[in-house]
Amino acid sequence: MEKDYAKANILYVPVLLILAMYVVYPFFDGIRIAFTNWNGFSQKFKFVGATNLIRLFADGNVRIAFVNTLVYGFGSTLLQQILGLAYAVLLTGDFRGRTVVRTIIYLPVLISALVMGAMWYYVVQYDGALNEVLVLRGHSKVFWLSQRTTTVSLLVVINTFQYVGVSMVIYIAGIQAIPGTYVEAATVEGAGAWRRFGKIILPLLFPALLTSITINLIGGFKLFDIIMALTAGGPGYTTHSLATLIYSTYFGGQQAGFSAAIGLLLFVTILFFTLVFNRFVRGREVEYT
Amino acid sequence: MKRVLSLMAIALISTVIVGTVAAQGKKLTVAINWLPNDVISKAYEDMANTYAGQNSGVQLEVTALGSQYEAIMKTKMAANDLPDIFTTHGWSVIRYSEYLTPLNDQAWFPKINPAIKPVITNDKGQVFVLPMDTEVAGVVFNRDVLDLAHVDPFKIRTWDDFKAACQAIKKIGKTPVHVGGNPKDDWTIGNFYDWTAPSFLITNDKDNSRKELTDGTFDWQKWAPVARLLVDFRDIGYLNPDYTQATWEDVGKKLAAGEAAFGFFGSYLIGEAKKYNPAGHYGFMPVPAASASDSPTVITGERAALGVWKDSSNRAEALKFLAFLAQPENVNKVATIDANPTGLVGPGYKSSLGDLTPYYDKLAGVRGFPYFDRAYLPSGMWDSMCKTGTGLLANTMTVDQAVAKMKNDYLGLRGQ
Repeated sequence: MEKDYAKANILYVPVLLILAMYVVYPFFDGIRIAFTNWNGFSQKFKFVGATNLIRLFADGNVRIAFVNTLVYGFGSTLLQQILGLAYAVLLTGDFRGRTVVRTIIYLPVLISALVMGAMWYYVVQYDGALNEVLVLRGHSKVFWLSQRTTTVSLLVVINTFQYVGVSMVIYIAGIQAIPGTYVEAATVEGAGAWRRFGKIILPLLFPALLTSITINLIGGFKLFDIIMALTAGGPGYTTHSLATLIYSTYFGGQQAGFSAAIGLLLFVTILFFTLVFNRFVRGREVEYT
Repeated sequence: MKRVLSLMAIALISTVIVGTVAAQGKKLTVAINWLPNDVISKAYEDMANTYAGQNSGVQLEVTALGSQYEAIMKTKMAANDLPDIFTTHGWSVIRYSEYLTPLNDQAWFPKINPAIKPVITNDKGQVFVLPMDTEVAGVVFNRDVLDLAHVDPFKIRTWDDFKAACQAIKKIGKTPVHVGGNPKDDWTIGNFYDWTAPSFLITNDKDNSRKELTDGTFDWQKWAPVARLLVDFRDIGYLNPDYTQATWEDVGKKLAAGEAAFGFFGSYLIGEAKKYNPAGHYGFMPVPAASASDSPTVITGERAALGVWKDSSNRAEALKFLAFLAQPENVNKVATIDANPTGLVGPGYKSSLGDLTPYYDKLAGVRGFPYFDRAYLPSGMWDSMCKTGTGLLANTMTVDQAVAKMKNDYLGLRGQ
């Protein structure tokens, strides 16, 4: 029997090797690089202690990117939960064309984020479709991508538009897993639609909510492709997330050591909020009794 | 038995692989920084094919990496695994020399154009590239627009003169200066600073910061007038209305359409404009000086230049290919496509500058200075110039913030 287990365990080896090569080693190497002044391509570099980590707190652009990252993470997550849940509730009803509508909402998930960003770029750029509509209606053109608040909000909306389908699918699965007898019993007891939703469906959707929020939060914190396609983090540094700032600092700024330090900050940010969220929801699950 | 069969299979596969490699002969990899469909990329491919045709057993693989060139090359440098031959796009000394073979012993070395030699020579006197052409750049203009506004570009000597010319152009309803300030195309703004910064900090023989910039003692408050020039242009209304969203292509289009007068780019902008309006009249003038005590200048530098990876296993063959590229017909071909003077000089070396010849003739006596960031800033500052520039244009950054960012990055990068 033990021999059989040994054989089965060998099957893990390729996966473990790949994980070690592409996740574990880069992670620890990234930490090492964060303590150097490496420019990202030279064979020469020096260890500079905690200089890069200290600089994280003094650098104004890191501050901007950090705040933006929180906005991308929490903003997208909030919008995706509200819309995803609304879509799920509406689309678990029995009506003709339900599958078609579900497919249409899910479709953007299948498109590459870079393509999505490029498509929206043609809508919101200065000579884009949105401004053409404004001009047709007698208004002046607007710089949609020039001011931080507008552009960051737009990026949250676009990210939500692309990934709301994921939340919808998670919630649909969650709703369908709720035994119909609970809802029927509540209906017989005279509970209205809102009450049934608030008292039966929502509490029982807690596991789905947890999954959806965790996925969306991490995705929002790591937002990269759409930003690169739409603004490349500009104008200046105003729309960078920590993820795009890592890329920009490494390849453009040639400061791989500092870039790795920003990478550590992103890792700690995601870890912190995921742990806090998991701690918050632990013990609050509702079970069927 | 199984073991014997396995060993036989391995031996067979190894023989096939070794045989295939041997049959293919030497394979030289050449990486260039243009887009695959660019005319110059086709020219390199043609030259590679010609060389391969003349030297049986040698294969050349030319890869045009376009906009991803720098990122890919940085990754390759980090891995110390570079192509046998690659272009250095202005960075043969500061960025790439650590990985390149010194070429001072090559037969073509004495023929290097004296105008470009200082730019591609390090402090030990070593040269690492074969320069196919020599960039001589000024401010590009649409001659028809200037005529309409009664502006003589060669009478412009200072930025004040330039602003007066802009005013005249604005009066006739044209855009005086077209910039491509789109953050996705921010190199256009970095280029603006490369053109304008020397007039404030470098070109004045009596009052300049050449030494301070190179020894690290530069007072970055002196960057403020450089940063402010672009902001001034914006505030007075000398820039295109879509200054935060326009791209490099837009500059060429508007210049070609006669809607814009000036562009701060090399003569490649004229090539771009000609794509849209070949019948247009274009030229370029020296970059104005910041004060009346100085005189206008031009920017000089590497454009098409190739080096050989120092650790290449095909180094000898790569040097032979470089010698082939150094032949007059090849140098002339590349320099003509770039509309630049040749990188090597002597009998047989002459590019066809076409209708730009009179402008090159006019610039013959004008002092030339290297690209500002390549000569006076640590590698990596280009990005800071681009980003602070788009930030200033979009008003998401003040001049003081831009100065502070430039200073921090300068000090940080010097320490690397």
